[in-house]
Amino acid sequence: MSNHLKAKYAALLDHFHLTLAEIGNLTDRQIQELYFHPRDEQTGSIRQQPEPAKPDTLPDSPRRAFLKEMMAFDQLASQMRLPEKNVQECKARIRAKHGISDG
Amino acid sequence: MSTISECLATPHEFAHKGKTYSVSLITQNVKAAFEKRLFGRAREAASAMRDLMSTEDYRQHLKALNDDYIAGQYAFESERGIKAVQTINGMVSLCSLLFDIDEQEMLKIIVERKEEVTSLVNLIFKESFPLDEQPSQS
Repeated sequence: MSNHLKAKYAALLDHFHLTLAEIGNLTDRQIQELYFHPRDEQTGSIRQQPEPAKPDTLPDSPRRAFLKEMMAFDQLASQMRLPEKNVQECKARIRAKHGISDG
Repeated sequence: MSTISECLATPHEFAHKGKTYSVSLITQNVKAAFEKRLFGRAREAASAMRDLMSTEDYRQHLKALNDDYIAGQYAFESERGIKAVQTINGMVSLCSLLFDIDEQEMLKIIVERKEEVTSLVNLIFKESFPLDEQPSQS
């Protein structure tokens, strides 16, 4: 048994109070990713790995960015009861900004 | 596989001819059992060759086997262990440990359901080892 593996088993026995029978039922992945999960060097508390970026946090596609801005404007215009003429002017400006043709 | 499956390392199920087998992941116990089987095979091979060797040669050969075993050369992740898993005999042996059945029964299942067993074993390797330490099994 390598010294590296012995040290890991010893830590599982000593620090985590597992029995040898319990260690026997663990996979390498469990040992590495759960018991030896990265910890803060100062406090010893478990560090949470950053989650992979979810689709919502990815940069918007041009079409999606346009739709989000248009929906936000619609909501604002409705709340502020903007005159229809101004609403259309603003929407035209948003469309122009995103390079979207009318309609 | 979900994070829960990764963390809890729960066994898989494999249904074959009306029987459902509980298939373990590669735990420390499985690795140790595989190592013992590999060493046992080497001793059996030595025993079979005994008549071809002088007493002294046979003693030396057994000593070399023991020294290699003590040095960890039959360990699951050792070069010898990895090579063994890549052979048919080694795969049958490993699968019989994972399925918790004898090698004869395991061989029959592999012959009849090779694709499914191979696919399941590939998955079990992924679930059992950290992503940066995946041993090659094929």
